[in-house]
Amino acid sequence: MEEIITSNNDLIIQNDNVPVPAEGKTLYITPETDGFNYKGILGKVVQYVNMADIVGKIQAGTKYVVQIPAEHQEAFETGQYFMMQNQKTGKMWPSLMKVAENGRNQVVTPLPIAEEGFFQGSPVQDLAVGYHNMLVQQQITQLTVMMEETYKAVERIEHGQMDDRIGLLEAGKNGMILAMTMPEGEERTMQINSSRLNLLTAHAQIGQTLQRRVNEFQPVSKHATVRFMKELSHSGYLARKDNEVCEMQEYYDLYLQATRMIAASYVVCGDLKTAEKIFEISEQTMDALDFKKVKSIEYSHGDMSKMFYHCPVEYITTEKQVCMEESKKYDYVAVEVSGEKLLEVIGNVRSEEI
Amino acid sequence: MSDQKRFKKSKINSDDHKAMEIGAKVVKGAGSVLVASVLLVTNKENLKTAGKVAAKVIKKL
Repeated sequence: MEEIITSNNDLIIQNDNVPVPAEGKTLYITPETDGFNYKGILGKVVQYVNMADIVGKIQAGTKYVVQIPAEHQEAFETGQYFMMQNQKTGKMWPSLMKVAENGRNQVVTPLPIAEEGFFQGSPVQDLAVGYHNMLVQQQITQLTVMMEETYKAVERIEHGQMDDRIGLLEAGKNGMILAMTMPEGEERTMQINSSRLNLLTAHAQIGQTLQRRVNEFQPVSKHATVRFMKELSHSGYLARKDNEVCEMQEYYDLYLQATRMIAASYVVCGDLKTAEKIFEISEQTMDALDFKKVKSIEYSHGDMSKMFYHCPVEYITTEKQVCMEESKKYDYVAVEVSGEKLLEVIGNVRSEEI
Repeated sequence: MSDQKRFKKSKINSDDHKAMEIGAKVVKGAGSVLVASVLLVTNKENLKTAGKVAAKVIKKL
């Protein structure tokens, strides 16, 4: 799914007179993209913009991208002035781009919106919103699968002693799965809210367990002789130390997944600020932990630079950024089309009009 | 986002301290043999002493 989400960062200005579309999150659709009625979308797009004036600019054998803003801006209300302004600045304005040989997009021309299009709104708005909602739901489903795998591992560690913690997590996860099958509305929001309570409690408990385990970890000596003597006096000492760190890693993984799940539960309700806040709480919790003793495990190992305790906060920050980016609605829908196909569709629309 | 760090579980290579574990086992094994030998030798001495004492007692009788 991620491959069809692009940003407009790869735009090249062809000349100073051609405005470049504003940067934004773009849903990129090609004829090969699954799950979209490509022909239908292309037809709507061509009707939305006034293609008559730009026919001369389209060449057969060239690949184009028609980019449409997913939503009309509030400034649309200002009418004609907005139209002129945007044609100059390119901000949130439909545009025709050519796919250059190096794969980058070159702006050919801004596209004027057909008069009808102004009143009917963007034809791709529902498509972009619907696709975005589907992606959020898919992410929650993926997260539930990941969480299940991890908490089974934790369950093995706990040997069933901490069933309540796992139970809460499972209840929260199952509640979210159920909520995703419900139609959008008050009932679904209530279901999400009650599931989230379980997730929040489990999240805090997992954080506490990780904290306790980190604090109680007896450091491994940096002197090989001492480590040898310990291994000599207690067979399997070094293997047990490895296990302790592996178990902490499982807890960290579960904590991270629970954080992501709680954030997703806010995102699906449209509350991005609180979603961001839960990541910040997790960052603070991890920042308060001192992994110095845990790091001593490296005395008995080679390269362990990828272990969780090196960047416990950064991993959460990355997930926060990914979550916030994915939660953002699409600014544009871009449809990739060959010159021949575009001319054909424009021809069909014109003949229908005649 | 691809250049950012996303968490992935790492495996800890237990082979890193395999040599130390084997070494400790060998030393433990060797130590056990040594202790057993010492005990054996000590036991032989004890047996000899006991035998001598018994022989003396028999002679006196």
